[in-house]
Amino acid sequence: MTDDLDGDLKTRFDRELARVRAPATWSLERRRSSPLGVAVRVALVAALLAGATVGGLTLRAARESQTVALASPSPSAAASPSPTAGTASGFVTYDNEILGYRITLPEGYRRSISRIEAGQVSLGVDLYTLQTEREERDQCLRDSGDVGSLFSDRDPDIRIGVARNAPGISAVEWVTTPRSPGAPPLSTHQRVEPVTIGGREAVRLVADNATAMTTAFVIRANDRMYELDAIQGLRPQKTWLDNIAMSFVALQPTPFPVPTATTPPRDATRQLGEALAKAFAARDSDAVARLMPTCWIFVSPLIDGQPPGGVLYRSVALFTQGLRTRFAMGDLTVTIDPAVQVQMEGGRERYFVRSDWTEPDRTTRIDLFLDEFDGRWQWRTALHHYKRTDLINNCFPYRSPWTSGTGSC
Amino acid sequence: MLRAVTEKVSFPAISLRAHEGDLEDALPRVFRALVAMGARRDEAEDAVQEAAVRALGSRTVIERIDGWLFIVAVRIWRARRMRERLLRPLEWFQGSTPAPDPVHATVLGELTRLPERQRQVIVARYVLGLSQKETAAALGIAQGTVTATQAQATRRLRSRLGDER
Repeated sequence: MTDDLDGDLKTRFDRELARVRAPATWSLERRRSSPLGVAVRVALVAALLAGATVGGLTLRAARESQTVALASPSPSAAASPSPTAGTASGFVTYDNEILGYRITLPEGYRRSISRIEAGQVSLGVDLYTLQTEREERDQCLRDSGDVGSLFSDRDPDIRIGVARNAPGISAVEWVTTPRSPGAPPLSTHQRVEPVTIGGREAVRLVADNATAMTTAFVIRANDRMYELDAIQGLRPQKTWLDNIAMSFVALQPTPFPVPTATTPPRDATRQLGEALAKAFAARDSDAVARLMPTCWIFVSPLIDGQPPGGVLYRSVALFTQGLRTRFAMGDLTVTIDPAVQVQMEGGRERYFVRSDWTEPDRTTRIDLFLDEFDGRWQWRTALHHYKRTDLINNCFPYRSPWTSGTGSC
Repeated sequence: MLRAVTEKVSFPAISLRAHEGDLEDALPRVFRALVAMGARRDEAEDAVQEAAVRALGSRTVIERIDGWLFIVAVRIWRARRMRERLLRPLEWFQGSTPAPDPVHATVLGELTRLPERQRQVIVARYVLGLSQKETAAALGIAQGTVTATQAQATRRLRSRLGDER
């Protein structure tokens, strides 16, 4: 029954989806347990990125040296490196002297995020991507719908997270024991293969399913653990990550910079809450925007107090535009209670202020979550409170400035 | 947001166990459907595989395996993504999300900008090839709603693709 389908749209779907290669094999055996292999790594990423900043130190970028068309280093390795298609044209080598490593990547990769944290466990994380800065800027001018990610035919981004190995344990033990109480070990749903990279003890994690894809490496060096994995994108071959990992070289780390004095979180959030209250009271959309991230704000609903799924990356530029329009029309009033609320989340404090968004026909409570990023406290997340009866055909009733146009439903 | 529709469907009793061949055939289609919904490939593969495992272990009886797999896989994917997003700072995604092509809009790119319900209906119809009736059953909504939603979504897609008729 396809006679009511738009033939041209169908053709476009077929054409674009023809480029999406489905896995060649599927494993239909029940897995050992239900937790998520992806989420395991995500939890660690979260710990690295959002977690301990005990030293109160965050730098935008580490020093890096870049050498184009450099031959890939070939450290001795017990792992089985395989030839990589497409890497012959050139390479880029990145050093992070503070975190203490060098990595050689196919030409086109750039370091898009570099965080030095100097925490009790996490020391920092770097992210390398093929996405250009121009592409990053362009996408900030669009919402990410409520999905957030378009599929990509590009090679994946590469993450290198560095953590202290205070207990001095082996790489195998590192991946097979929980990194935090109650968390599943990194090896969940993975085969653990001890290897040597550049003379360093390491572990290769391989997906424990039919894909047998190399998912991550953990390398022990400098009394630290270096975790290297690939996210997003499409790995051209199962051992694509192996070729990257084989170029890893441990460097003698330079000292962490001396942390500058930082404002205690409770003071910083109180100041931010008051600034938000003042900006909204003045109906000054630009002042509000200055207290937000530069690209997207994370928007999520609560239905009768429960998170139902469905999330949105709202372009801050579009949000600001919408807020300016609504303020000019005079049909929206935002009232902030600057008293900072604290809730525990994953063992750490989260801070938010409550707000009421009053329109002619409704008032919506939105919690404005305040987080520190790159040394700056920002309003980064908006949690909308709805009742189930507020939904329109199961659609969250976002309106401008949270959505462009007449509304999300 | 998604309803737990798998318990609601009441198609003629056909055991999934007797149709593992159908299941295998459906997997690539459902995989592409998830990608069309906005899942990354690794996410789609993981969710579809998990849905297939559940299908094999389920006593549920259904008519359209692909429709069932689609709904279950979407639920699995969304649950994981929700967890992922709650954990990760925005810049993490900002630095790693592929950019839409600002010049050449793609139908898949535009699809991700539609509301969830519209996206589900369009994917069920155009990617999975479900009929309106099957789409209604899979999503747990009235057939008339499917018709209206499909028409609305098609208009929006056409408009955004710049070839509104």
